[in-house]
Amino acid sequence: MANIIEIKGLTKTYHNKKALNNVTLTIEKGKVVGILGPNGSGKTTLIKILAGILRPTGGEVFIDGNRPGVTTKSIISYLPDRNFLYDWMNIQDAINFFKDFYADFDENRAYELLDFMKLDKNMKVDSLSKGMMEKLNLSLVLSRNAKVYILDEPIAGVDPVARDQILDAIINNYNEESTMIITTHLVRDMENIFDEVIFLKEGEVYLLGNAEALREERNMKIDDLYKEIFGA
Amino acid sequence: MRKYMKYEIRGSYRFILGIIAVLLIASTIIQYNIYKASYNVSTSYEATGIRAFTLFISILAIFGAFLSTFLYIVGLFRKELYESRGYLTFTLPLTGHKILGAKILVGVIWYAIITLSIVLYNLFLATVFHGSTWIQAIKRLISFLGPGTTTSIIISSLIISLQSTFLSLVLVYLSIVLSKVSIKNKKIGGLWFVIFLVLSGLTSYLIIKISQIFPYYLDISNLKILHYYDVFPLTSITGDIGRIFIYGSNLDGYINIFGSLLELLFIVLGFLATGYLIEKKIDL
Repeated sequence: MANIIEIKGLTKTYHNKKALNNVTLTIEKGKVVGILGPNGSGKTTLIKILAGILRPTGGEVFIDGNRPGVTTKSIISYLPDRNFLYDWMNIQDAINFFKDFYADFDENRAYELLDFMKLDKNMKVDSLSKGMMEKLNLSLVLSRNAKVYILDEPIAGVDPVARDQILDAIINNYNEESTMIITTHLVRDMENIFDEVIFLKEGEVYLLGNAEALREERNMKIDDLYKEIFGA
Repeated sequence: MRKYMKYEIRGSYRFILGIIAVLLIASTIIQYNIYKASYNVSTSYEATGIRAFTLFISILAIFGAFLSTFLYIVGLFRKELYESRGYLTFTLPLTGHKILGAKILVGVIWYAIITLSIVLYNLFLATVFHGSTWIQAIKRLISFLGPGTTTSIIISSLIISLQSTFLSLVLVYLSIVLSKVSIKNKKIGGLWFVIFLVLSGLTSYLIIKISQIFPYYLDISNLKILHYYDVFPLTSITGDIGRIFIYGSNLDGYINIFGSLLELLFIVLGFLATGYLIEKKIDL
């Protein structure tokens, strides 16, 4: 299967600290890929470079054959690890905003997802709780028919009920033509949806491979493998 | 870009309406004081006590409102670079130039609306307080100047105001982006303002210099090019020729061609540089 993302020798340095060090990897079309690692391992840095809001210090990144920029932003649906909607908006404004800027936005799916998440379109963005905000942001991101979805810590800091709703939304709305990249350190909750996993440790790729093959090879769950790698 | 402008306007119109309300209240107080002063000459020509205080506060409020608008526009852009909302703005499939262009145009539109509101409201107040006398006064002024000169004053003032507003906004945005890029995305409060002062000083100095070196002016009323000394023959003695815009002896407006072109060049270069930095260099 063709690669949708190709990363060669990617390095990102903040002052004297290397957040990413010579990362090389490829991601195939149609896969759900988990980027796993503890805080500070370089997950968000990698994601932000793919989303086009962080510049690499060295190396090359190609998304669907293009370097990160306006073209790649139109095919990537990105969920950051924070609320990114303007605080003056209500939910309907946010839907209109996505509809105006993304040709692949499916308004009907957005309303279905809002319904599923039990969110009212008249709610003000700045009045939402963290869990509701996360559900709204995810609903908007999943309502696009994007080639690549990038979800940065989609279930961090939300209650178990919201967590289940978010996971259900991801599984039910995943399109097999698309690629989904998810960063998380809550591996146990998410490991069943990953086709591939990439373990990042101190800015370097420590281990990568097919999730099922790794489970068989190591005779343990990905969550246990995570603890083995990062618990030492 | 129009879509982005729509959301910029939606996000800021409440603040601008508040500013306009403050300006209109302040204008009312000022006009009322002028009215009282001009019709009660025998009793009290000068505003005193509480009236003087409200007059003073009103004048301060007008300056404050314009300053607040400037700081608000600046603050919105700084939020894009340093707070979460940038994650939405800078992941849109828009070039840096489109984002910047939308922000600058919305800034100019707000300033134009605020200025227009004040002018129209004050004309309305003048009618309320003084009847139609001000209309007669303006008619007399126009007939004294002639319609051609009046048009030239309006058009040349408009061109110069628009150019300077565009340049100021471009320099503000460039300074904010430079302050973010130059210190590797660390936030140092006020650095952008220092950069803005330096850039403004430098561009103004160069515009004045070029206006002095090439003192050729465009007469808007007939599109003729004149030397400064053709407009003010006596100043050939003083050598005072360093301005981008001058009023002639009949208040007719003249624009320095090279100074104005240099200002346009600064606007274009500033715009290109800022758009490039937004798209290629900003790290969130």
